[in-house]
Amino acid sequence: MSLIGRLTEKSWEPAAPGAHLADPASYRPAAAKVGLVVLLGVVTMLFALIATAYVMRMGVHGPVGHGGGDWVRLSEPPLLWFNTGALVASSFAFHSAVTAQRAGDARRLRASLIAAGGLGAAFLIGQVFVWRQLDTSGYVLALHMGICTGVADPLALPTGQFRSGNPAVAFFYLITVLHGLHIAGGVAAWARTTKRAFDGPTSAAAARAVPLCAAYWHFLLLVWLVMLGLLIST
Amino acid sequence: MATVTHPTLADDLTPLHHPTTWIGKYVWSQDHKVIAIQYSLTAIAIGLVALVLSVLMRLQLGFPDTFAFIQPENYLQYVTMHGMIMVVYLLTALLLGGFGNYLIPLMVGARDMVFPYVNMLSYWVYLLAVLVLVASFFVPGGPTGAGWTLYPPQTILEGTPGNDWGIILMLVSLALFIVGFTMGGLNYVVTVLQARTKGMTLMRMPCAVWGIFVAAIMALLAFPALFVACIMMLLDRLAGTSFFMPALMSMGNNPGYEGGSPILFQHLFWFFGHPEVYIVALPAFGIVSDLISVHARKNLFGYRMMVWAIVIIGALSFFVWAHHMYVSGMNPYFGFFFATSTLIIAVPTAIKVYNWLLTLWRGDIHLRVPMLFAIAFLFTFIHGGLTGLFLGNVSVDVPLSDTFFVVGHFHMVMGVSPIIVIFGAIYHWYPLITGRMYNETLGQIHFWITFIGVYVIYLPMHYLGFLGVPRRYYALGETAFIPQSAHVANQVITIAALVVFAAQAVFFVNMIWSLFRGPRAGHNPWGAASLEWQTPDVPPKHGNWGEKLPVVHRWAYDYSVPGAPRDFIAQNEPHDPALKHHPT
Repeated sequence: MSLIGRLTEKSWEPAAPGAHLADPASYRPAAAKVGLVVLLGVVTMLFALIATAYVMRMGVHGPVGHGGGDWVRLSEPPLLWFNTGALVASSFAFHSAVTAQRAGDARRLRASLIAAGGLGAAFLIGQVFVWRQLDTSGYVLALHMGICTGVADPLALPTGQFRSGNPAVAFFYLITVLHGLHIAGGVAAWARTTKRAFDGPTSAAAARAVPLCAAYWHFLLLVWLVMLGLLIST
Repeated sequence: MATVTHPTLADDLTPLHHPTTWIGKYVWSQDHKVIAIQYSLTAIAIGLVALVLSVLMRLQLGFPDTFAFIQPENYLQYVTMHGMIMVVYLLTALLLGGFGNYLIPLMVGARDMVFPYVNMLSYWVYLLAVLVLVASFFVPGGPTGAGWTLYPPQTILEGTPGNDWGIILMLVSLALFIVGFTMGGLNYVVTVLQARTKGMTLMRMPCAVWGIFVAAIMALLAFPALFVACIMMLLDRLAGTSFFMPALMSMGNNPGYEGGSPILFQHLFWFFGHPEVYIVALPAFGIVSDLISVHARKNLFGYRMMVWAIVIIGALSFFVWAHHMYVSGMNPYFGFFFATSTLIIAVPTAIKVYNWLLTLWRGDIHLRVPMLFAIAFLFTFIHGGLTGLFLGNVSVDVPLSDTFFVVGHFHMVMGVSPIIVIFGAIYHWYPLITGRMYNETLGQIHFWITFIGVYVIYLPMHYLGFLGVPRRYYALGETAFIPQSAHVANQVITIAALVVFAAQAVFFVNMIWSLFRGPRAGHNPWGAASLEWQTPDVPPKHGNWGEKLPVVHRWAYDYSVPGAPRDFIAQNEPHDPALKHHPT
């Protein structure tokens, strides 16, 4: 039944004999699948709000601009492109895992999953190097600097040299770290899925987990591409 | 296959997690009913802290210069912690984590939530958030006193109470709360979508489930805004960024911030904050619909319209947030848009109010305690809703914005109304949850003192607001435009608040005493048609439905059907072709 049909049902009237009595499990998708869609909806909202805040803070002219003219364009390290390549390749590997699982090709399934996880980890390690590069170029956040230079009370209100003036840098860290956490969650899901796939490549558990994990991964890539576009275009 | 993909929807009980130890059953429990009770007790416990804070505030306002231990900075801390605890840690947690957890699986005919382990984690993360919040009372400088909206820049600057530890703990606690809530919210939404039993179509769900379902979706979409705001403010506080902090001088020093936008924070906060009003209100709307129908022995008037109104209110509430910001200095043209969208919400809300009244019309009204609270909600909600129309208009809001009128409006519509529904709901479902009946006389005493008391407290605040008495002030002092009558009103309000505060002891005594000494409630004491009352055991056992899941044949509101043997027909009773259908 269509959504409109469901929402316009006159439930106070007696239903036709036998109506609505099909076994729900026979036509509903698995709960995990719907749960993933809802979760990705929440993550979309999170990044959409950060992107909105980013644009507003930049100081676009007009009614939504709130920036104070202190935005200095950041030239992103070229390493980001390498990392992006790794994430794209990782997504392809996941796609290969899904097709292998469907075809019942256990060897390719395992190889694809290992490749996908490895490339995902490479992305995360690459991001750490990006942060280190920014760090050495002087783009640091005060807490980090406070702890590293042994300030007596790193939780005190940062002042003077511990202030990171450029909001472009602050947003860069905020977005990449939150996306990194998102990836870390993906790596945890990948570990579970891979274990299931190694335990039984043709099992029902693997058949459910592999496509869901792949969908999560493709979504991660999509979020990254949108965020990267925002970061390098401004 | 069915037993694997939908364990909560199967006759087979084996896939459910069956605890064997006491700790597994009652502490690390994955049973939605136990988690619901854990959520509720924690929320009520922290709510009591906020209640005590409100009494301290009232003591100061009614009798200034009397209590030496209440200093101006303490007063600001009370305001802040009272507001944040009541809105987020009590109302949201109790209505969604408590009632959502208890009612959804029982009302849709499922054995449990679809992800019981995640559901359990949700509670423990919530508890951690509460503990972090409570910890802020004991750190140097105490909890934050920035006001419950935590507006920058003053929130993290020197001179604001709790600007060193308190604010950090508050922001961390909120972030934890949101993580915990997201786990629970996922469960509520997916359980409603995926775990309804055979025959339970969307439009056969009771309104309580609809309210909780839509509120959970809204919360999943709105809480990320608060999460982002908290993280960014935490970075401003700890990492020296300037997301929200503008260039300014503070106490003669330049703290070095530059270029940040305080209004950006306000947009993020209220993009969460306004839907939050309806995240609390929609479950209350749904619950009150069910209470009125059951205790008036009459089907809910305009059920389909009631459901649509819930959905429309939920959607519209994402387009009204800046009506909290008329005086913020945002672009004045925004005011026109947001005032219009705010007033449009009054339409579906009014539909709901009319339908409640028309459900009561010519019903067989039983004035038992849950029904008294349900009817009281109609009074307080109409009252609070109408003063909302005042404040939704820019030109009226600007002079009233910083006065006690806002306190009166807000507390009637968002403080008293949902709490009244929560009391009604606790009395209504107490026989199901505990298997025992509460004491009716104590319940009536509790109701009347609370209901009359809240009017004595909040009605004069509207008058104070018109006089221009400012809110958030520690003391009014000698102020020419504030007459003596305002001070008298403040004393009366404080005395009423103390009486209402003390009367809540009657409620707690009733609940605890009845738990051990109350008469056995038996099966379905109210004669309710909805599914949660049709369980084989009272209180329902783990897995809820025994051997076989129920099959649903009708909606949840078949009351007083002509020719039926009883004055209600349970949702799981098959249709009798000989029975004449009751026209709506």
